[in-house]
Amino acid sequence: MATIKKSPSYWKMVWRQYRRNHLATWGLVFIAFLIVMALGAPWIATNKPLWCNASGSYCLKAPIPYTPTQYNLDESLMPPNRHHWLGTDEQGRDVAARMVFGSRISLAVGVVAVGIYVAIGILLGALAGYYGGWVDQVVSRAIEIMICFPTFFLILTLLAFLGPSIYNIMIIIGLTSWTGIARLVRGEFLKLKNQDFVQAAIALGASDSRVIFRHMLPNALAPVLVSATFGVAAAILIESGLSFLGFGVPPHIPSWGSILSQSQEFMDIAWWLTLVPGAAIFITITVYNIVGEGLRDAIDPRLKV
Amino acid sequence: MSKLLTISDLYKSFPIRRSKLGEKRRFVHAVRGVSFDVAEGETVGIIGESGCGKTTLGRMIVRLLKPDSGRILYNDVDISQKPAKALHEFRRDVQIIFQDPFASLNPRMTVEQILGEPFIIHGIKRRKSRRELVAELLQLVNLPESSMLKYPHEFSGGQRQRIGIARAVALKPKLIVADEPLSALDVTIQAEIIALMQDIQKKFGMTILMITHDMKVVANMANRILVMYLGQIMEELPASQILTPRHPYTMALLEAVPVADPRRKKAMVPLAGDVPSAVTPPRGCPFHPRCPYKQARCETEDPKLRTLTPGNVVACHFAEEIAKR
Repeated sequence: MATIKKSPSYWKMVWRQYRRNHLATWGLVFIAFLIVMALGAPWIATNKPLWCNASGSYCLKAPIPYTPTQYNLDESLMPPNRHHWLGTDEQGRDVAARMVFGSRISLAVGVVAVGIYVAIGILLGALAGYYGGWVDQVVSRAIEIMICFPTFFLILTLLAFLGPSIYNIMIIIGLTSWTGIARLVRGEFLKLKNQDFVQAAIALGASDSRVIFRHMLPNALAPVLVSATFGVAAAILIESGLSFLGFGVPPHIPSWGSILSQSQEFMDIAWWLTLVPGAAIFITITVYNIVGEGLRDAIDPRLKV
Repeated sequence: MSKLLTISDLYKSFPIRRSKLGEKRRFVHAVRGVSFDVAEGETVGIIGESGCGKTTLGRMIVRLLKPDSGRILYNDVDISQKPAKALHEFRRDVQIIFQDPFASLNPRMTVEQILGEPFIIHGIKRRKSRRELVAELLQLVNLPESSMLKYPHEFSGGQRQRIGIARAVALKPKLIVADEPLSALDVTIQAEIIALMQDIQKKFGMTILMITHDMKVVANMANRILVMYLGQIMEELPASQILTPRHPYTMALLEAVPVADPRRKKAMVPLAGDVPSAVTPPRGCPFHPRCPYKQARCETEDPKLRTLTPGNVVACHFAEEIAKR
């Protein structure tokens, strides 16, 4: 067989389109930076040397040579300086170290909660859109009932019963926020079900799972991805809000929301305690939204694929 | 010739969404009591205006739709109400070609994946690799082997329709329902596709049910022609008699075919009005509101199909008298 050049797939073309948006591309770089920071936190912020030579005369210190829980009351409420880049809190803990570890919570909540609800939403939306009939009725009514609850207060109530923990937050956000994705996927599936290529697959005798996963889902996934990106931003914001209200992670574990929460008492004398986590949350949410919008533009149907 | 397909008294209607609260549920009556049969190796053309139910009929025959009532005998087995799971063997034998070549191919799959799928679904294992089978199919429809790794959007409409045909004939089916396979294509491309379909039919000896609104296409391809109007069959005639139809509707269709002759005078006024709503089909003969030969009887009594000459079946009370004029 002659050498055949493989044509670019749909996602390659989306990527090509996406990269033309510089702001969104830099947003993606920023998110990559956040991920590296969260995964590498134990090596970025630690008081133990990362590497020492054989004699111990020279040691390589971590970029932030403090742990997030290491306190020093002599250094409490210090403004940013060359030892503590982002200052210290009322117990003399390094804010930079706490911020780095706090990013793990934000990332975990964002990814896990969104992962849970995207999975639920795709499953229910696909079943409703593909089978229609009573399955659709049940799922659609369930969606309408879920939408009636104000999510944030539902989460607050459930957390009050279950006790504040990061896992509870992830699970509760995951179990309460699937309606948007489910409606999106249901709508896409209703549209796709009548498309000729889906009908052709059915006429060929393809099984339901083959039709759903090989033919319909890949064509419905792009808007889901966009929605999930916005969802990560929303989940981070919910976690910060909950931690700010004291329903989030236990106080000794740093999260961006809890750092912000503790800063309230010292707002007039320690501006950095408010500004740093506040700016981090603001920038991260904004970047996720920029990336989501970039993705939405890149998969625009006018991009003829 | 043995009968491959026998259709008797097929009905299908679709509910309309109620616009007012408490409104009675209404239906679009797409197919209303259609009966005919198809012999093996034959090419049957089904012709009619848009909205006459011919696509619905085609989709019921390949069982993408389930009829409300009536029977579809395929090789003397009724498949009209079989559940989807019991149709696996049937699906291998009966395939469909779609109208819109831009919608009928999955945009996320390469041609190799699209054409390989029939073999995967039906678990065909031969000594040849799947890639070789796909290459053979591409050769059959005159596409280069290098098309294999391309995506559908890289092809023209005619090329895509070739891929659609290749997919339909991949498993060498006995019956192919072609649902307006030409109407989305340029005239020059149409001729190529017709030639290709005839070529494949000659090779594999398959039966083709050609659904179209184009008189010239059926006249070229079909042995036998069925004329549909508002979900019913109005006339059945051999292709050789296409120029001498007996039913006023078929005559009107024939008149509507443009002829490149400026001196030719129209023998008849063009058909007035639109097709009546399939939600509330007219009483009596469905064609009476537009028929130039309408008489009182046509408004009350639905004409039954009756054989005038061998092979020519007509649903018109006054077919003989109209033919004399």
